[in-house]
Amino acid sequence: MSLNKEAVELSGIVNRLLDNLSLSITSQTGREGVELRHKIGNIRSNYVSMISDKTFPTELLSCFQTALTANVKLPGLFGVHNGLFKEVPIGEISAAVVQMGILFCLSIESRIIIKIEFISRDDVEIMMNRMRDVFDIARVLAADAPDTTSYQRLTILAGNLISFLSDTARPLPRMVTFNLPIFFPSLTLSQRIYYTAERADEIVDENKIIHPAFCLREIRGLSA
Amino acid sequence: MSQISDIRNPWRNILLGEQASFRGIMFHVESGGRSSGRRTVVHEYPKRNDPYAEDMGRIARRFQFSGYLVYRPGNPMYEYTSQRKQLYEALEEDDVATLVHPVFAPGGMQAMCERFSMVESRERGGYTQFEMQFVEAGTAVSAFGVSNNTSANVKISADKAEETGKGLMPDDTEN
Repeated sequence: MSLNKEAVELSGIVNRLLDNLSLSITSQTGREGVELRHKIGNIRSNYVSMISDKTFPTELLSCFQTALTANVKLPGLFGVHNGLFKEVPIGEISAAVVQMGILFCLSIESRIIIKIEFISRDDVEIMMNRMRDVFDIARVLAADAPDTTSYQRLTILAGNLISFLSDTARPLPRMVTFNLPIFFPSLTLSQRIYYTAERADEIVDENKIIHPAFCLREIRGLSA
Repeated sequence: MSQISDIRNPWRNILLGEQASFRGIMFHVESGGRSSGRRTVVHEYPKRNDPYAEDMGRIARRFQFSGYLVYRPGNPMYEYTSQRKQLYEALEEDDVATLVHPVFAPGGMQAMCERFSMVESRERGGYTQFEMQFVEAGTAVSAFGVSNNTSANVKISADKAEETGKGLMPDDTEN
């Protein structure tokens, strides 16, 4: 194997990975977002020499870690791992880059998820199902590699993440549907459902109500 | 002239080995006690002489101390009035803390002050008595009987995944 033989394939994989990571940077990422752009640019320019002197994994991980501190949102990183899942690397170095990208991306996504403050059990369950599917694909890809360490690490990380989400979901209220006999304003609804008028805005937001004086007769809300 | 504390024997060595304290605030001990045992449910059956005492686990360990602080000019260990304030504040403060007693909690143990009373009397000026009851802190358990920090587990496994990722690059990557 050599870098020269894989140059075209590797260039495509690295650039697509960095393109997807760049797309995760938004106007809300602030100064760290600038730093992330700088690091992405640095890898894009020097990835060949970085692979030769074995600093590429550290530089790529540093990129993902900066994405974490820059408060990059999960959908942005979903784009990164989805892009990597679509890659079909042939060369050994390219395969390693794809696999390490997946590991780094899912690791950072897990770190983001444990910081999220979930409001309802449904939100957690949606996240759990989504991440279960993501890890299933990642594990299938890792299972094809001759070294099983990645597969094992992904399995353990997936298990711990699902365990965390299960624990998080347990004390949270469920989303339920309330069927009301007549149309009520959000303040009345909040009082009737939660015995406080303070949660009227929550009902309006959840049900995409245009005017709070006229709520739908069938509304969704937290059970408690 | 020798003092009684100069007579060395094993039990006195233990008593003199550690200073009683709670949350790092020392106090003298007049008397101390420890209580515990087993939680039992005694089943007594009709028409049968033999009962059955079911073991439901250990009773939480409780410690009772009759302690005091005394005024002495130039006391090297504490200043009487401020120490008294520090001690009752330590007893009232949130959460568990370390209780040290040479006999009942040697080396210190995590305990919580359940209740205390502070008594000062006219006849005993410069002397404040503290009646304190502590209970062992134990460990918190979830409803499933297992205490598990799941977010820490995610962080640890994420660290390991990243380490593995860093080692994936083939050794031979020459041009």
